[in-house]
Amino acid sequence: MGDPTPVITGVNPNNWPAGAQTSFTITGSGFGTAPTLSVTGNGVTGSAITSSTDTQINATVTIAANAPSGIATITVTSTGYLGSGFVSTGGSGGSTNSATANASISTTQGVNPTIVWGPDSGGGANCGGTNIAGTQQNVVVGQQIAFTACFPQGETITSEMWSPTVPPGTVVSGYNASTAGGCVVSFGQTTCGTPPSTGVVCGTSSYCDFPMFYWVDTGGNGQTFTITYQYTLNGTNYTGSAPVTFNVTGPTPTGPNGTFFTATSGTVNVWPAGVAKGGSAVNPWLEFGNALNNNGMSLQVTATPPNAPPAGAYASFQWVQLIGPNKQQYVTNPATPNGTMGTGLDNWYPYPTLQGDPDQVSDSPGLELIAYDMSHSIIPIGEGAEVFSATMYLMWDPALPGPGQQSCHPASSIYDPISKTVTPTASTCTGSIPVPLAYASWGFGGDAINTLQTQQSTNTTWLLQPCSAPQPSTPTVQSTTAYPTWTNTVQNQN
Amino acid sequence: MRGQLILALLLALFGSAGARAAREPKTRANAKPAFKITISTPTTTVKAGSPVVVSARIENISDRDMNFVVGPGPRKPMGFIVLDSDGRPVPQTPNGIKFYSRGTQKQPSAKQGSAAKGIPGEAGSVIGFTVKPGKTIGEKSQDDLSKWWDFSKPGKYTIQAEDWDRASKSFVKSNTITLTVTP
Repeated sequence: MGDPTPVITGVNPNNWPAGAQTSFTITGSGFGTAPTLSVTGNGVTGSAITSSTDTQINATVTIAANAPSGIATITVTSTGYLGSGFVSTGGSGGSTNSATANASISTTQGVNPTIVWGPDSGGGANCGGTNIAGTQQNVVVGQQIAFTACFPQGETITSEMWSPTVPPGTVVSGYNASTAGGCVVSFGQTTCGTPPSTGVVCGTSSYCDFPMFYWVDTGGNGQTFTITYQYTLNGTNYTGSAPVTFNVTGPTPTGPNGTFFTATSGTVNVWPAGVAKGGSAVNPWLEFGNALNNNGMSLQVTATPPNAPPAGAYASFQWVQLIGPNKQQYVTNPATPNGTMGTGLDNWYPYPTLQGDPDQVSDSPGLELIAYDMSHSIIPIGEGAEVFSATMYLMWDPALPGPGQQSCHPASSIYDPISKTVTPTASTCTGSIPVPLAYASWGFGGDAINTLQTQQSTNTTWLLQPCSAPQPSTPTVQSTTAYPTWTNTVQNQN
Repeated sequence: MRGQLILALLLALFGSAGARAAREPKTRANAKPAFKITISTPTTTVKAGSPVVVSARIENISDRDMNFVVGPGPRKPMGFIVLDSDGRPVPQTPNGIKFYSRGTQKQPSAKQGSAAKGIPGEAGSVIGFTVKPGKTIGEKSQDDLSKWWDFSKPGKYTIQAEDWDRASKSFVKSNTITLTVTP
């Protein structure tokens, strides 16, 4: 009589995930004292017994990450007791008896990718960061949005994709602005010359960057956007996916009719010396306001910014004014050529404000009613006229520090009481850009003649002509997601 | 215009403080100033050749709004009275002479030399800043006075700012700070 044939009565667990090593137990009888184990099936890369008795085998099995779903076959072979083999009924010893059982290989519990903040500098170096997959991240407009998906090290993929491939909502890839020029880098196109990389930028092994971008508007505060990464491992139908959701907030308009700022018009007139140009003029000016007691155009923020964080500690509103084309005309003897000021940025980026008071600005443009000859002597001027147009943008910069920065300040143009000039300072924030909120187009036209007699309406000898354009009305403030751009700076005529 | 050229020449010879009396009205006695100037420096001892950084804060101490403006045309900078340890005026640098001649001379026009005969006056955006009563501006202003005055000789210097007050038609003077320049 030979040794008994092994019998398998149970395998636990009997569902093995791909991409992992699983410990399992085989129960039954007749395993002998030195059984052997064989596990076969697509994707099975190894198995081993860790301990055994006549009735139980503890073992491990390793399933490749790219294993398809299917059945694995477990075979337990008894080599008898004390390794002596069996004594067959026919008298010949040394034979073996086997038993088989099945377990299923599952790809439904594979390793999903993770998503981490930050663009990957290469090699998946960021992949050790906090996994934000499946979470909702609170962000603000103008914040640099850069994240990377990471999947199991050592695997190769046949396909991968972000969905959607273009971020939902209104986004840009950058905004470069200085007094010298301003341009916006759109997602997938640019006005700056060098096209940005488009589409998904992925590594070859274990990470995949989503192209960096900035949300320009909130799509309505409280709206969320979800972006999902999905991949398929090489030669399989194994897929993994991970979503991340963003809640985008920004400044909330509080002005009349939901506007981000108010615009108030002053008066076009000929203002006398000592009143015109903020009281500093030494000659009369044809001017929209006088910057002393009558501002031509006064603009005041009517919006509430989001709290910090997610906004930065030095988040700030800022203004940008584009002007032109503008024209000045003079009637003098000898003749003075017409002044033409092209289109472009009005002198500074951003528009000047007082330190600590970025929420209000004004402009009182005009022209001095004086002309000179080549030797700088005053020459008679009988008439002066101007047509001026401008568009003022209100922007907001969340002032977020980038990697390696503790804090930062957005761009500003601050009045310096020592030099009595404006000093533009570039943004130091590498983690954010300003975003446009609203704009208002405004302007004025005026024509003044020198009557050579004192006029009550101007307290000068100058008289504003009835044929001048009507007094400017209050401009309409309109919300926008379009950035102000310029390639030219229009300097004041000194 | 000829007068303005003469003023510029005076500035070049005597510096801004020396020329001030010639270009501004006389100080009105007992006039109440509309603002207060406070100057400060982050370091009172500097090495010769190093920047001499000075900040100036202007506080509106009147009961009315104060107006500042930037726009077309040069503006006279805030003046400084810089004296050496013997109380003698410290000479200005060539850049200082140029800087403090701003606002005294019509700048040449780009159209000069063209066929046109006339040169237009100033034109463009005029930006007014209003400082409410009790408010201060310039907390973060910083200017390097070594660009405008010669601090190359070691010794002690006193620095005082002054600016014209349209309201009281007088010069307002700041506090005085003492600077030590080491070799």
